[in-house]
Amino acid sequence: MAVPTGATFGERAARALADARLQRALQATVSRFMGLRDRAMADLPDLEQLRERAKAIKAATLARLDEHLAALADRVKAVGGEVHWAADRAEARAIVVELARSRGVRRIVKSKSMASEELDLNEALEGAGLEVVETDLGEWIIQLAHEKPSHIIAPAIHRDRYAVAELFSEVEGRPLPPEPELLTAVARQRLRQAFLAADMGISGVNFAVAETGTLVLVTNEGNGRLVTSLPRVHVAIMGMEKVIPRVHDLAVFLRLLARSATGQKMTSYVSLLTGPRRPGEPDGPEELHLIILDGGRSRALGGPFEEALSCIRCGACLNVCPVYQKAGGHSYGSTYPGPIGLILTPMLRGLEVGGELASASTLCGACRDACPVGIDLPRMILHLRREVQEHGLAPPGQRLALRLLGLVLQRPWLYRAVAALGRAVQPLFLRDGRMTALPGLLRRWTRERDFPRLARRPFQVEWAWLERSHERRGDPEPRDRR
Amino acid sequence: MSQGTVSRTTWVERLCQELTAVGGHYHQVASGEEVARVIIDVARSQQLERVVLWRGAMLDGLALAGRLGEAGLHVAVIEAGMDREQARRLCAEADVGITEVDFALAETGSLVLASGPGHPRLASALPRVHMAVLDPRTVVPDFETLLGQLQAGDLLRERSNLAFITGPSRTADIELTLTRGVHGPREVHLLIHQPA
Repeated sequence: MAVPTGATFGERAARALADARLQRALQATVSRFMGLRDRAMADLPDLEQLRERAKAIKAATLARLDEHLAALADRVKAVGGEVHWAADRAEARAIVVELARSRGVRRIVKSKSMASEELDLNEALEGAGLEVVETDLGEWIIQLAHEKPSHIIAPAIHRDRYAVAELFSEVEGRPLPPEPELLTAVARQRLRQAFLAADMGISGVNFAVAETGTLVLVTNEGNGRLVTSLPRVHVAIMGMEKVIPRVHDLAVFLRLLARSATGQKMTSYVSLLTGPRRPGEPDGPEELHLIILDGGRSRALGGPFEEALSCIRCGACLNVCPVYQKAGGHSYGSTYPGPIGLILTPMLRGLEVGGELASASTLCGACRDACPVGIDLPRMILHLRREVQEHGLAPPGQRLALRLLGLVLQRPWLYRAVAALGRAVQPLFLRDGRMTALPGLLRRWTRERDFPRLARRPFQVEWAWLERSHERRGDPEPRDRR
Repeated sequence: MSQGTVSRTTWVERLCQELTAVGGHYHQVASGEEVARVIIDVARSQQLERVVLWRGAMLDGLALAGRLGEAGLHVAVIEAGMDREQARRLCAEADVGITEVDFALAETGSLVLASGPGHPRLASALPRVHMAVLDPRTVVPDFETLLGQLQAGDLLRERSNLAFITGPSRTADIELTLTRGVHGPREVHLLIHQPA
């Protein structure tokens, strides 16, 4: 079980598909997540209404994002926090490094934060001579393995218990059995020491409430509470789209987030953080710094991909995606995998970096159905594909294939002729009713998947025949039937 | 029995149901003696000795420090003026953290704890066992009511931290196997204090 390497999504996905251990881990994870989620969503009597409200709140907030962010910044300052604006990833990294330097920080603990993953922050901090420890169990596992997360909410699902036991045995210097409970206890002990020694805690932000300056952190392990309470300096990093206007909006988002992510009604912990420690309080950080990260987001405002900024990072679209289910998170080669990653990666890193992911989708629409805030991912993926083609970024083979396909699909006579040809020659390639190896341009298609048998009678012929037979019987025409 | 009392009873039932569903425990208690009894039983059954205690009107009224001390537990009370280092050390050394509850949310079985003088966040975050004493009058049915009350009062504005705690600390990061007590408490006990 290794992280699949390769220059392109296709190469990495091919390696992932050939890794039986990874396939078992993926299969177990996504099916479990989907089951939990379905059950939790089913007990919401007004799911559709709630989803609509969430979508509406996000859309309205994004429409006046500058005002909401300004209000948030004002409130955070009013309650004693400091606000830093980071236009890009490099700026955000520099702000954190400078904060650590000027505050005499040596040891840092982090709770899981996708924004910080976006920044490759750990490398930057370690480069500045600082000790950084990830404290979410999954994040710690991949930090020890020098890997990136493979799932938004379960970063280490690509590693099974045996692989984790191997890692922890190395850390402990003694052989540990592959028992999750025991391994978790080992992590508790090790990480507790890191918590108590840390000068700075770095967290993400799930929601930032503009009207009160409250940062909301949603966790299960309790590491988020410790990261934001024990060290003397707390640095919270948020993507600029995380702001919500009102405290009351939390009722909508908190009901959706945990259910959609892990199938819980509520995560074990939700922390509402309003400023640093107040006079008289016995704990909490002396300083609170909020970094508001743009990093490519503002470019998307008002454009066709703006909707992706409504994402609350639940990971549901990953679990239901037939491509993610087989390729796994690392194949995407980006911070955000799965359907939402297809849109976020080019948004944040540019079309040249993220454009190749446009084809990592079947457009089946499962992601749209699963999204708790109703993001229309297939629409954006289609749009992205068009942009990739328009910018000439698709590989030459794909461009040629699509041009040919366009030619055929726009000419019904040609389509019929090609289909007839296909039916005539398919017996040469059929094996157990499927085509497993096709020649020429189609070879790449059948390298990792089969091509189904073409029907003996095309649908168009079948339909015309149905219509005629209904007319003969005097039935209403089939197209009028519901 | 007034209408309000009837619905509050329903809310408390729901709270207990939801808390149990996420692996928490609840106890109905009517006096300081009974509160102490539950804590002592839980501590003894797991050979836990060190207890850290919030300072607050309700807990003070239950005279827990004395009762627990007499039973042989080592009790540390977080005094209102205590400095950061001392509070953190006491919470880090404790096996059991005893706190009050500012609100309880029936819809999800969540306990809401506000930080404040004598009320360290860490008492419910560091020890292995968290025991929270609840005045049932603070139970609210749903998020809307809770957030409304938080906004109307001064907790949200004047305290740096409100923690919504829903059952024990948990992780499923290794093969999605549910494991409790990864960083926070592995056990959460709610003591519903209704004087007879």
